[in-house]
Amino acid sequence: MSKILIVDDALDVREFSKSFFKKCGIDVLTAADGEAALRVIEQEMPGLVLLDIRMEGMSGIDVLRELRRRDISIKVMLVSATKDEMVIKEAECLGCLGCIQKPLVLEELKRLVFLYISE
Amino acid sequence: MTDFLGLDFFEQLYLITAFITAIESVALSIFVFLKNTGSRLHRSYGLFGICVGLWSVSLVCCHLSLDLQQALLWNRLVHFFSVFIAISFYNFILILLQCRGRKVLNVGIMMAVIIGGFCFTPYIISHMSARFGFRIWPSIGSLYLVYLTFFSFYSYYSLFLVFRRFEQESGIKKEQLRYIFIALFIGFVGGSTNFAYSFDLPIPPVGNLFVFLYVLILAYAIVRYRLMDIRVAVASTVILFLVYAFVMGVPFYFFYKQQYLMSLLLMAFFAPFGPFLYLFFQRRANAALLKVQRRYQQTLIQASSGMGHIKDLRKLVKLIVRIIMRALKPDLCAIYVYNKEAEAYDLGANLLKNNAMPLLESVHADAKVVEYMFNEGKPILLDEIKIRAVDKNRVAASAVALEVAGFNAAMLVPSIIDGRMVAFMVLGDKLSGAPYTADDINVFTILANQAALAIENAQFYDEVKRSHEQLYQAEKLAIIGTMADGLAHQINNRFNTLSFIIDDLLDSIKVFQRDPAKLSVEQLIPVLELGFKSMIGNVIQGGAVVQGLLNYARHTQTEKRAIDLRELIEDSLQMVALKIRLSDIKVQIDIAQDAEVVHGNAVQLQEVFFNIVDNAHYSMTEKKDSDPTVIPTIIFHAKREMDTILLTITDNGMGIKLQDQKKLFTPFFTTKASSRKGNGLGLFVMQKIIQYDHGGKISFQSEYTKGVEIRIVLPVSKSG
Repeated sequence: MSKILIVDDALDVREFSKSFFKKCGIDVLTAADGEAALRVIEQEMPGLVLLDIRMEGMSGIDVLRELRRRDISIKVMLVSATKDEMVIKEAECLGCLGCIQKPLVLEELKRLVFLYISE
Repeated sequence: MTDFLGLDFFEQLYLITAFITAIESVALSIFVFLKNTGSRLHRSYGLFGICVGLWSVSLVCCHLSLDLQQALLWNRLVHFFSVFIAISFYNFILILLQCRGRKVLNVGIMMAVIIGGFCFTPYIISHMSARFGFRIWPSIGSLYLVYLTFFSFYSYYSLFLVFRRFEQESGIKKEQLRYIFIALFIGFVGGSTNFAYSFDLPIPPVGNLFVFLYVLILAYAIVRYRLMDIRVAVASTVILFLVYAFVMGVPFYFFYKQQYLMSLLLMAFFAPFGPFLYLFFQRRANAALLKVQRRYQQTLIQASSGMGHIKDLRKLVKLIVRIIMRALKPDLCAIYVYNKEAEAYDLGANLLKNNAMPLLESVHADAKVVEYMFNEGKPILLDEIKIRAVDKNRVAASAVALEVAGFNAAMLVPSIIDGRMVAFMVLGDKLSGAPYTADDINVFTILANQAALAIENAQFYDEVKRSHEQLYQAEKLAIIGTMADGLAHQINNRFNTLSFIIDDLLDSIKVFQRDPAKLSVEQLIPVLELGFKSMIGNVIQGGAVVQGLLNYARHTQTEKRAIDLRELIEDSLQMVALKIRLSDIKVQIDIAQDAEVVHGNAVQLQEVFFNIVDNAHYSMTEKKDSDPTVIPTIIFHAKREMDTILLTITDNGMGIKLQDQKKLFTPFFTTKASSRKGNGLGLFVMQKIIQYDHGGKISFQSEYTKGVEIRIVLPVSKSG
């Protein structure tokens, strides 16, 4: 079963996306902040990471940088509530797949997830 | 009086006036010389005056001589000194007019020495004999014409130089030259009448009777028109002379009448009064003479103390104009101040008397008159410009004269500093009709320099104030921007979560509809229940965000009023919560009962608290990174102190390094590593809000690594 990691500081987002993807046959790992996300990535190596940019402590961008530093190659989609060109550019430079805007529609997200996992 | 040495009345008068001339000349030249021994002008006048004095003394001695041999010797001295009168006069005039002629002078000195030597030979004066009623009169020798030519050339050529310059000059200088010319014309023409008898012309030396006037006229010019800056000394001399002429002259008259006892009594009577009379008149004279100078001094003192304090440009120029109007009483005074944007000098302030013509509102920086003033760099009189305009070589000057006439001005005073003309003053004629004097121009030069400094100061202050205002606005916008960003993020997050929940629930329903075996109603109901509960939770959270915004909006009135401090702090915390997660921080609010209501602007104070908590949070996060056992805590503590409320806000973050503490309130100072996290304006703006807008105080205490205590003093609400 394919595994994805959802990193978001909102509990409901973690819970309901987990429940949603489970029904599609995708195993969802969750992390509430950047540090936890890095731990999960190192241990589980999920097929795709959905990463919230704005979080307490490490931001999504910080996580991307850290992955780069540790030389971990993994597919990452950024999730953001606001459109910040500078941040998106930096994320792309750090090897991120792209940035999707909140609020998300789960059906749309599911399409993207299947697209990247099947690659 | 025919009994005196057997001389007739005319000869007596001749000798008395000659004696007066001698005394006056010597006295004045000694005063002039002693007043400023370093000045070439004073020295040269001293020399000339001494020569005249010696000449006149010799003349008196000659005519009092008991025999012809003695008279011949004195008369030769008369001619000897007259040679040096001519050449020393020429020297004085050269220095006074500052014109060229050194070669003519040097030749003259050589000739004077030679001719002076010849005066003691029979070639100039051969012998003495009685002539036209005078007991003794010189008879000329073969070289007398050489002497006469030399004397006439140097004295009359010098007079001609004075006259020519007199025609060109203006103002006070012209007046000075007028009196020098009149004085010396009388002196030389009067003295020259002595020559006639020697050529057997029946013209009596009546002119010599008036020679003594030259000193008095010069003295008048010195006192009235400040020739050689010795007016006070000269006035004292004249007073001394007059007082003692009376005090000693009256007893002498009785002595001369051989009434010795009367003379003695009068002397005893007058003697004690002499010094008092002298002091009395001298004080009077000084007060009168120095009146104008005192006024100027007063003006300058007033101006410099006033100008230094005023930072408002409009008030400053008004003050300068007022001071000038009071001190000099011109019929108009105006100041034009340079305006960088318009590249022109705008009329800053003006006062007009006697319904003078209205002034130009603005003068472009390219105007000829502006360039002219800048090049001159000192006060300019319209008369001077007109004179230059007459000169064909100065075409530009005539254009300038026209422009100046447009101002209706008599004098222009540029204010120049560091090679820039920051302003200029325009002055009309004095109401008294008197011309502008050298003193006036000096005062204006000083005043203009002071004004330049003060105006620049005020302009600089204006600019700083404006840029502070801009910084403040920028920071306010930045705070609002931060708040808006946090708000958008929060609301978006709520929607995002809601979207997730709804999507999941819809998906579950879809699964149930497709295959009820896989998901039964009993299984679906709890899923839906959990989903709806979560949705409500998120809606409530979103509602709280909106409530925070509403609370902020509620405070958007800008006027100050009574505010509940606790409510204010809580509203601020709600706003901070949009940006940072406050649950990580322990917040303690401890407000004394009599310190609950402050008088202030709620929006501004909220911004201040927002900033403080934001900064504290940043600092405490840093601290927690180095020491995870620390529980970040902010304590708000308020208590009453007289008519104020002292609010202390303490955190246990990293604190501030000692070397940074002084710079804390300067704009753009930040220790935050990333400029995205702060532009260093926060504390600077907080200080402005608390100190300028609320009349309170803000200060802080900090020990590095231990935390910060911020102390804010706010006025207590009167109504509260």
